[in-house]
Amino acid sequence: MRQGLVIATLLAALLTPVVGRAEVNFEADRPRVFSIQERPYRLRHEFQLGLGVMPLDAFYVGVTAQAGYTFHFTDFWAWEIAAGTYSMNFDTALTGNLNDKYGVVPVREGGERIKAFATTGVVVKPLFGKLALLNSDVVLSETFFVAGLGPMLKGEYKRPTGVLGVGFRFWSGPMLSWRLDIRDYLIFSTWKPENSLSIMLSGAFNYREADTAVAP
Amino acid sequence: MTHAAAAEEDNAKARDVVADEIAPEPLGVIQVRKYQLLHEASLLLGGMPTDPYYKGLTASLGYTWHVDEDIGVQVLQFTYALNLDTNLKKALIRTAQASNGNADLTFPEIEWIADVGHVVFKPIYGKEALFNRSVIHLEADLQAGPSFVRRNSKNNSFCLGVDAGFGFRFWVEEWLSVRFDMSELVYWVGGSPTTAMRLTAGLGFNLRGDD
Repeated sequence: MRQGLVIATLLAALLTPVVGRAEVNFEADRPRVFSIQERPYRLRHEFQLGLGVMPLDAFYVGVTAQAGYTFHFTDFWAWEIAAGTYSMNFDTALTGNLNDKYGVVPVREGGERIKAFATTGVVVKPLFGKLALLNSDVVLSETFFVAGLGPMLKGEYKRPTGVLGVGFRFWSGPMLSWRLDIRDYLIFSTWKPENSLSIMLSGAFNYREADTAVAP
Repeated sequence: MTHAAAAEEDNAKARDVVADEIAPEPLGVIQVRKYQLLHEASLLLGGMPTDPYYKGLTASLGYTWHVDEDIGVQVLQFTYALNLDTNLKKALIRTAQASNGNADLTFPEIEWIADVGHVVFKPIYGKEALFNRSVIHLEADLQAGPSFVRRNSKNNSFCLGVDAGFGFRFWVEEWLSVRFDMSELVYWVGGSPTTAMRLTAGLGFNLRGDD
């Protein structure tokens, strides 16, 4: 009898922690709650003016000016209806170096040069947030991606062109924001496309009807 | 104006003054950063796309000590370049061979770069909502500092340069972030400046240590 009591006690002692572990830990198991604030600024009709650079071509560097209009359907989707770009091209030192070092002169100034292009494209804007600037000021920001196509005047020829890019927007206020766009243009002079990188800073003016505006 | 109307106007002005004085200033609240960096090891892959004679595919290993939230020091970053000839270089060699049979042309290429003691300035930290569902933390930085360049040429094989650029990162976990960097390296070959653009993407590993 006494032996049975000891065994029962030992068994109970061994099982107790197991029972304890099986208890629900409400503190750890509670669902995590994210709070996403409403966007204080929303875009509708966006007019953009930008200055940039196309640095990849070995024979010239393009300094570009761009004007565009984008219609924003929702917080996430927009259509960059038209973005027209003009490139002012400046020679690099390559032509001179080729002549000095190797005694050769490139044909047609090293190939066709980008003069102007216009694209239309889809814009997806998955990321919206706010950034602390030097831990003292708050800047509202957006990250967006662009995919589009359009004609490019390259040399004397029109070339079909695709564009893929990423952009960052920083708001000054509900009507004015600043954009940094990094885009890669795929230029189909042949079936194998050439790449041309564009880095651009823009000012963007937002016009939104009063009845759809969201108070900051 | 009657005496009563003038008194009412004075009262209204007085109310406005009082309201202006007691109206609370809007407070900008900056949250404590969720992710803090201290010792960071980085592994980056990328390219040097601007040289007319070759395109460099690069792999970089680096260590950065983040002094505080705003300033860091990239103590060392070593970049190795695997270079691929461009069509221009091949055409020049073909032209030289066809004209005089002498294809002994020299096209110096960057073999590796050592960035030493770059100052990293991190003015921007924040969070963005992804499709209004989840939150991503990100940081943007500017960096600049000296670089040593090793080229595969007989003369001026070691060059000193200055590199400056910017980058941003998205955090995946406290110990892991995805980085994108862009920089312009200017180095001097026999007194004349030469440039190389670097584009990289990769991972930053946050080794916080005992802080």
